[in-house]
Amino acid sequence: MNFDLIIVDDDAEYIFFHKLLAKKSGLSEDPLTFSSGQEVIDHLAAVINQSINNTLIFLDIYMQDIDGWGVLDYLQSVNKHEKIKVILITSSVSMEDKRKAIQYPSVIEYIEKPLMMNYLINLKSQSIF
Amino acid sequence: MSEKNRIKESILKYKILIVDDQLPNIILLENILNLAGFNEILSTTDSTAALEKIELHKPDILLLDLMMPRVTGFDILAEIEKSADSRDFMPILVLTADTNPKSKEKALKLGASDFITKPFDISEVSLRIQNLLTTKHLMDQLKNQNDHLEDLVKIRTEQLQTAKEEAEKNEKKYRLLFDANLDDINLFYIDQTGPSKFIETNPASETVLGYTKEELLNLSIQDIDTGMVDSGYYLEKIQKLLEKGSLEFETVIRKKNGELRNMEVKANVFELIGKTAVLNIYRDITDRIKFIEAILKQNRAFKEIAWIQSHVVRAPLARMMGIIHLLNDLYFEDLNPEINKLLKVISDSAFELDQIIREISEKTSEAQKNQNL
Repeated sequence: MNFDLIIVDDDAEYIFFHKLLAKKSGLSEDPLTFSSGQEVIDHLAAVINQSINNTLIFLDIYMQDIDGWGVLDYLQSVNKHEKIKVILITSSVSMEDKRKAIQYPSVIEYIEKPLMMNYLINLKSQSIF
Repeated sequence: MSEKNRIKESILKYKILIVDDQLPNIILLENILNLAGFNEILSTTDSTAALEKIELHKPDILLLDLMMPRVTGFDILAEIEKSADSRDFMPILVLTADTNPKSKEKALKLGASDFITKPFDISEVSLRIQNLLTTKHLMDQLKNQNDHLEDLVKIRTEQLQTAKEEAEKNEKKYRLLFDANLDDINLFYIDQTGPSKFIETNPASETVLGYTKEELLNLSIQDIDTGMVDSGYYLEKIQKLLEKGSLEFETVIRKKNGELRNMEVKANVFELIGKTAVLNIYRDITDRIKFIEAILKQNRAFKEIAWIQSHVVRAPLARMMGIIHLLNDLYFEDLNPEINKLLKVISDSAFELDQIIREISEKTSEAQKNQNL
């Protein structure tokens, strides 16, 4: 694939599960994983000014301290929407969250957990970047 | 035509009855009266028929002889006297040859108006009759005017009585509304020096403010409205009130026992006996505010529950659902049918639970929307 995958979730089991799905579906052999908003922001901040690869982020919304919204606000501030795209993967079924999410230019999809294998297989055939 | 001539013309139309047992006297009198211009002259020599004729013809004046056989002039006078009240004034001119003062006095007591002594002096007879009829005319006129005035007074009195009863009924009605009102209603005057003491209040002041009417009439809003410590408060309120005529606002009242209560105030300004007066209606909304706060707090809890439903509870469930899916996609074909069946039951149960959580979340969200409306 023409992008790196990053998985952000504060629930270690989801990280395991989503990583497994990514591998099984053939979307990514070795995704980077982070268990908090702060960690992923730190990582991105370190690489953002270098020639960063296309990056797709599976982002959870509700996490301790800096949550998914915080990460989206950060991405908005660095303004690299061509390079960094986000799929929100959340257990929230609230319409309010959905409405809020699509306001962010980097968000390309909003998925209610559970993430399905078939979805990732379909995703492979789409040109995200 | 002068008033005098008008009266003279009127009295010539009057009806005259002559009662005298001597026909020559009657003829003489009729001639005198004819000459004077009178046309309506009746007469009789039969004194027994006199009363009947009076009743029948209702003469305006009676010329009555005293000395008659059987029924005398005195008898007739006495009979007329008995029923005098029920008819118009009828002057009686007594014709007599008797110059005895005793009989004159007796006739006067019985209601005679004047005397003519026989033999008659023609001009005196005419003059006296005209004088008596002028008097009658004036008296009738006066009586008519009095009757008219009496009618007017009666009508006006009735109108006043009706208006008074109406006013009393209204007063009673408004007094009842005032007294029965659960909100405290009080009145005071305002001028450049500020608010006067209260001049009126209803019984609700005891429950709403804690003061009896007697106590409150010794106080002003200075003593009860805590907003008054701020010097701008009163001026601002009064200015708005005078501009609009009425004003609604909320304030905190210190009750007699020192307790502070939230009040909704409806103020109206109006003129009362030449002064500017304010009518304030105080409604205690402390409990209402508490209730609203409790409801808002409950709604916040409600929202929190919804969030927990939609996220915290759903997170582990979604995990289970995802894994069952994965197993289904990748490994189920290799399993024996019994385990397959059991995994299907777990999967269905998880989706069922998910549906319930979604419904609860949706309903809470609806409730939230309604509250925001």
